[in-house]
Amino acid sequence: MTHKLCIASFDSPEDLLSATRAARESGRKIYDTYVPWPVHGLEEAMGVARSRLGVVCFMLGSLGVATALGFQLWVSTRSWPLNIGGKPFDALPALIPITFELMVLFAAVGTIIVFFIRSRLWPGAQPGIALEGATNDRFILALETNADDAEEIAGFVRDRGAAEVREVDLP
Amino acid sequence: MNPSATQALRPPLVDTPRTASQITDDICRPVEAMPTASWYVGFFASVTALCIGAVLVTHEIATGIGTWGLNSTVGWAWDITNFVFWVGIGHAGTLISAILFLFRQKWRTAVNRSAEAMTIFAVMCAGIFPLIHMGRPWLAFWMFPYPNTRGPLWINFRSPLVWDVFAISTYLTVSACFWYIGLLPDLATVRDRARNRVRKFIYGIMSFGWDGSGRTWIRYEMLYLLLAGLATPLVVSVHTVVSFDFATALVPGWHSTIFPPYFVAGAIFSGFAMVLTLMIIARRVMRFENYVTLRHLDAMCKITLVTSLIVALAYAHEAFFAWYSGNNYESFLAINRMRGPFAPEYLVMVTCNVLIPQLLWSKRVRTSPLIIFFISIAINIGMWLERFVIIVISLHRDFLPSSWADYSPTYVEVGTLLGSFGLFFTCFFLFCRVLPMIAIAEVKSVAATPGSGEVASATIIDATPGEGEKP
Amino acid sequence: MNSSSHSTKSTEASAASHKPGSGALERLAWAGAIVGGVSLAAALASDPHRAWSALLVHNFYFLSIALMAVAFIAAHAMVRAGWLAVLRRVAESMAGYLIPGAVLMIASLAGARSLYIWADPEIVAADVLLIHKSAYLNLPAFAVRMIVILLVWIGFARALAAAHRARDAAQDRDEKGVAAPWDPSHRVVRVSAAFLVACIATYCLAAADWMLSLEPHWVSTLFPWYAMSSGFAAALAVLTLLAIALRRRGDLPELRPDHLHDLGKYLFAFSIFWAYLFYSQFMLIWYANIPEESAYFDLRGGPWFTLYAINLAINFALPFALVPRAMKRREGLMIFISLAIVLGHWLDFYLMAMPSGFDTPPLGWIEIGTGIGVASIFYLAWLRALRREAVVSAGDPYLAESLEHHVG
Repeated sequence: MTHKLCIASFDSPEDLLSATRAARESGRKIYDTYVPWPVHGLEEAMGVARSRLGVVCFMLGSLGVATALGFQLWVSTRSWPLNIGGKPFDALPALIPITFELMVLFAAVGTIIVFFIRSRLWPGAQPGIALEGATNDRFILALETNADDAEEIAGFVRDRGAAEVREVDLP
Repeated sequence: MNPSATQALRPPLVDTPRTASQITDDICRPVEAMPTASWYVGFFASVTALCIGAVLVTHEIATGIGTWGLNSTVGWAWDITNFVFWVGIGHAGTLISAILFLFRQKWRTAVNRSAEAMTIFAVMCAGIFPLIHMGRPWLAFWMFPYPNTRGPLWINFRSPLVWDVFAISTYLTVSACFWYIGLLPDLATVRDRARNRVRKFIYGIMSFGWDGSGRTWIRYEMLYLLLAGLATPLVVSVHTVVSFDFATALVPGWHSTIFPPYFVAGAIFSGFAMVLTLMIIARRVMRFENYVTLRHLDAMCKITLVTSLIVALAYAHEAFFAWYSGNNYESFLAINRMRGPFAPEYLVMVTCNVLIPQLLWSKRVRTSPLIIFFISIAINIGMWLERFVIIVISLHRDFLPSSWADYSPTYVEVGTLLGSFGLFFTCFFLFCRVLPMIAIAEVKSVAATPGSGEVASATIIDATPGEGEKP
Repeated sequence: MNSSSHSTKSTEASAASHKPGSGALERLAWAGAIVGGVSLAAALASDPHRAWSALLVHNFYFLSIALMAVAFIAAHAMVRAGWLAVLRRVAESMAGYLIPGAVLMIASLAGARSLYIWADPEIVAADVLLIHKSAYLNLPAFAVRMIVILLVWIGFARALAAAHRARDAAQDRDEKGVAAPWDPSHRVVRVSAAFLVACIATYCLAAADWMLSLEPHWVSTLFPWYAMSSGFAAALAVLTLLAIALRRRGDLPELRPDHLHDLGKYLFAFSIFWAYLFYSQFMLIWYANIPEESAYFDLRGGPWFTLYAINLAINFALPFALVPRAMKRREGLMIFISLAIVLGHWLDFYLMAMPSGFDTPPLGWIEIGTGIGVASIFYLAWLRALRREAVVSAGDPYLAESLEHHVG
């Protein structure tokens, strides 16, 4: 039963990466890490699965294509067929620019919204754990602890170069 | 990887090595300090220009577009020139933020934030012109397909002008989102540094509760990659669609299949000139010389030179094929450009866009901010004239000699252009004040030295810590 | 890994006098070259018009590939990109085809009358437009331009290879203790810039001369750039194929999925870019519907339409299979898509050239035989150029970076 988080703050991304890797390999539960920039290799060190936003983006893009093509074709052939320049009503080459733009619009805006929801970010949201320096120059590892192993985990991160270790309650 | 070998191959991204927290201090300083005198001067000059523009636009809307120098032969002139000019300016921002990201060009981190801001402000300026050109801008919503009681009467999806509406509005939306996504981590940095509560509250809302979570960062990187992948074809499509406004027509000088890529190259060309103009001023005024170094200017000058050459190649194609086609109207247009009433504009255009940028072949020129500044101004003028040449010269002597006409702008048109510059710079000055002008997190990721001030050369160059461990 | 251990390995390989790329493919190429020569000779005897057309299409296609492969290298050299170092010589050696290609191109001047209607004085005399153009489109000027263009290509490609060689040799010396210059790539960057300017400008001229003038009544300002984009996408596909072939023979063990990944990205991006130019050219002509212009696509309807559909399906739709990350790293899939793209852009060049001279698509032993011949000569010329030096240049200052290249 998890009660608390052990917050270990490192000076460098390399220390954070090796500590994270070691924590994962020794079976400790990584709650999260907090870093000022996307540290290369963090994904692999934390053992996080590759993000599936790409799939979301692809599906939203397809939805954009379907919406744009469907609507334009419906308008041009059914709802308001208009002879323009003697071209056929369903003149595909003329429908492509808008189809493309809507594909990008749906995919980009939709993926951003999904990202915000998934990451629990919204205007006015409060940081889950407000940590000193995590947006400046500290590299922080948060490990889950319970009453029994708190001491041991603190020692574990200290051995791996943590400059500062403390405990906080789970948010 | 052998760090010393890498260092010999690529110059460092900052002049003086800085630690992560020093970078934060440097970049946040202008946002946190009181503005300097030069900022006030610049800002009020811009607001004045904006006000002049606003007054003249109000006058134009109240009176009608008869206040412009247009006539029934030259129905598009100053306004559409400004529209194409401003849309083009925006393209460099997306190129830096998206295309150079895909090409893994790390130097982009120093300029991408302000270039993207420039994109958004430029597209806003661009949007004004078709709007006021409508004469009745309060009916602008007619451009969008919405259910209505007139049929429903839909817009014509086969019209390039409608494509433009979709392209420009998508571009503005996606650029703004992309920009904001990039800003999130930096807004959180500003929030965490804020001393007073109002500031903390405002930046707290704006930063969406960003806490630097590794899981979020991992998703964020994927999102950034996807957005870059989407923005890249988007930016190409925008000026392509703008070029379709002309190229689908039968007007000589407009109907040319080379227009789409040629317009895109020209847009990037003019956009980079504007980025150079702005960054040369900003790096000095904001004291960012350590981040936007001479090497950054050098790299941007090279892109400017490449796009100048593409534009020159397109000019050559147009002139050659005008003769080669054997089409009387095309050859007349080519001659009318070079020797007609607007020949001075054409010659200045060629000088500014093709001849002057050739100076950039010299490394000494590419690393002299003052010379680059003047070259970039010349390119801005040249690219504005390019759109004027394309639009006005093709129209003013059309197929029917009896309808040939002249065109000269009125004070209202000139003042509106001034106003659009006012809007652009007002936005830019505000941006410098309230948002970090350089992407803090991104610059740190490629240029920060380890925490305690001790300098390790490998990380200046390479964004991939961890590789240093290998033998 | 550092470059000194690598150079030792290369030296051992050359000491064993193992020739990279030897084996079944090389023997097949020799056979193909003979088949091509025989079928071209037979075709010239039986149907010269078809024979010259087939030769022009294939030769121009492979010349474009050779030139664009070098342009790819030059563009990377200019921005000091490191990841490509293990592939540099593979791409650079594709320029080996420029010389046999130039010979074939000059030889096809003999068939100019059969290819180009503007070369026939009787037709020109009766055609106002052709009289107007004859100041430009006449055989002597055409031949002079052709020779100049080909010399520029060969000269600049050699200069670039020499600049690379000189840089890599200097790098070798550096490791013996001579202080490294601040920027070892200085000369390479300059030559690359000159190469790109000169070769892109002359390629536009070549495309206008050799292909566009097949239909001298038609003009499209985009055409040269369109042909260039087609050649560029094909060059990327050929580079991928050659690199994988070498790796499978054990001659390019340095090639890793990360390199394929980046090649795959390029392949996808430039397939889309090609489609963009195709759309730009097609849509504008379709939209404006000016008879002189739309004649080009009218000519490509009817029996040619199916080929156009295949062209778009292969060159535009198929590369979307490369979008998922894993696909670009899968060698088998990369081979399949690259092969398809090489065939697809061949079809594109075929559709640029053939419809002006034939009512129905000529596709028989003449075209296939010539195609096999030209492709085989390309392969052999590439192999010859490749074998002049180590497959991977050990002194390349960016080699260490390329060997460890990692795509996240």
